[in-house]
Amino acid sequence: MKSIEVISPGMHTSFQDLGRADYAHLGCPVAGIMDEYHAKLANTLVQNSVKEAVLEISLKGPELKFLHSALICVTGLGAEVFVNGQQKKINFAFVVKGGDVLEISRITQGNRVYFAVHGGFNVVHTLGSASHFHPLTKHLKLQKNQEIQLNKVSLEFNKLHLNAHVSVENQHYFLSEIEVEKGPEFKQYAKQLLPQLKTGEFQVSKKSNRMGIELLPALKLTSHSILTNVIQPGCVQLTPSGKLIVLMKDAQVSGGYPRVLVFPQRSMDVLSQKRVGEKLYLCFKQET
Amino acid sequence: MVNYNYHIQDFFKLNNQFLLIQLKQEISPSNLQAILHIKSKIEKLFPAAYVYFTYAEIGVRFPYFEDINEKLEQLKEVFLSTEEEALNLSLTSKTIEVPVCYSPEIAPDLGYFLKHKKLSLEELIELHTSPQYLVYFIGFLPGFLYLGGLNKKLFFPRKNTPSPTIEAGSVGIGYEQTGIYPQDSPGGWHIIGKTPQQLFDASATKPVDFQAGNKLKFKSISLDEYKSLTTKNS
Repeated sequence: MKSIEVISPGMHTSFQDLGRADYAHLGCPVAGIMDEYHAKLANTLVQNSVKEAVLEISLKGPELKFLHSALICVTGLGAEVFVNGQQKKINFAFVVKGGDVLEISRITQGNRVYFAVHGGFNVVHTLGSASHFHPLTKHLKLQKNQEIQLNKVSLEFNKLHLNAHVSVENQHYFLSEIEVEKGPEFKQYAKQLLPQLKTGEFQVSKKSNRMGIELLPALKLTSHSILTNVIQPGCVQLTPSGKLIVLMKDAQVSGGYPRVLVFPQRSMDVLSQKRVGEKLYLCFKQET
Repeated sequence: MVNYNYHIQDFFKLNNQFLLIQLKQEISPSNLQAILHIKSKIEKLFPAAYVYFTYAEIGVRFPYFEDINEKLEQLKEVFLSTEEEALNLSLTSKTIEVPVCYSPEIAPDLGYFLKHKKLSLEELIELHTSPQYLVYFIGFLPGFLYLGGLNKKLFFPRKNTPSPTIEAGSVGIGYEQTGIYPQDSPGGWHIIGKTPQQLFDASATKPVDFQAGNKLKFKSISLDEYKSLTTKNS
């Protein structure tokens, strides 16, 4: 069987795909890829469907040994990627041979990169998705010495367009302005919220993960609980102490804090790559 | 009868795939009935849509390729042009019994709770096992049931500082709500009992036994029964 051996799993490496959005009625988070642009780019570069699972790799990457040849790529804003010690470009597909060792030693820009293999990973699906989410899946991330099976590839390498070019348009990740939209409870807080957003400089707090990203400093206003209502990734909750929490892919599907703003997916992609302490500004989309 | 103009307050476009239908902000069986009715109507209108809901809000997700603004207009037209419709859904469909052991040995906050509420253990068990709780929806954690019907005498504030780990199966009270933690998780409710029953099984074809509209009844079991049921389930 075609497979990959996990020599070391890295800091937080997990399988992610488009998630299990159809299980919110059972209380299951959507889960799935945080930065959709780069994950979809990874699948596109190795000529997969964007629905294929990829490995989402945070900060310090894994060391993977290939037992067979494969067409692979690593996508993101910046990372040091080596095959048998030789540095490779990111956002570029290339072929590895059986016995080769891929090492993603360090993510130099952003928080996470994506790793895809032509044909895709043969991963157990739980409730329609390969996305790691404990306890729906046995583990919450990739394990040391785990063996990853690959799907049978649909095309032989000689039939692949190995020099196919995909233009990478990720310039907007380097801007500090992030576009937001109004949330369902925006109106109730608009008077106090708007002036603070206009002048506000925020930064990503340490208390940020795949469930939510907290923005600091807290706003000078207090919120009141609402009835437990529907929440989706991208909703921004205003906590009673005035903190904004942007709900990300592993967030709960229901919650009782007012949803004052909404991050469109493109903005969630960008936010997911902002590092702790990085400064950012929130601006409203022109059309609204 | 479902009176749309009474129940539905607003529509909201959350993103280019997801719409919210906002109902009267209340926790009531009549709201739940209206929600179930509206949900089945939407599913008939838009078979490709996915619908889920909470106490007073319905979320509708459409596939990427559909025009969300057009869908929003269609929904408004359907629900705002007709004032009311006959309701053929009943909430008294099914009652499921959940065994709970109310013992301080496995319920860390039971002693504290009884002392502060000035209740005996027998009184607590009587008050907690008598009602038929209505399942409003599932949210918060996989398999977490939002239940209505807690006796007012058992209302009790949440902890000031949430406990870092509450074990799966713990039955708790958080102000006017009672419920079961389906998995280990942090939480701010006071734990008064524990069930050996598994609330969520991701490998099952039906991961959760309950659905909104079902009734739940707690049944008191002894510590020995709890222990034997726990070993059987593991």
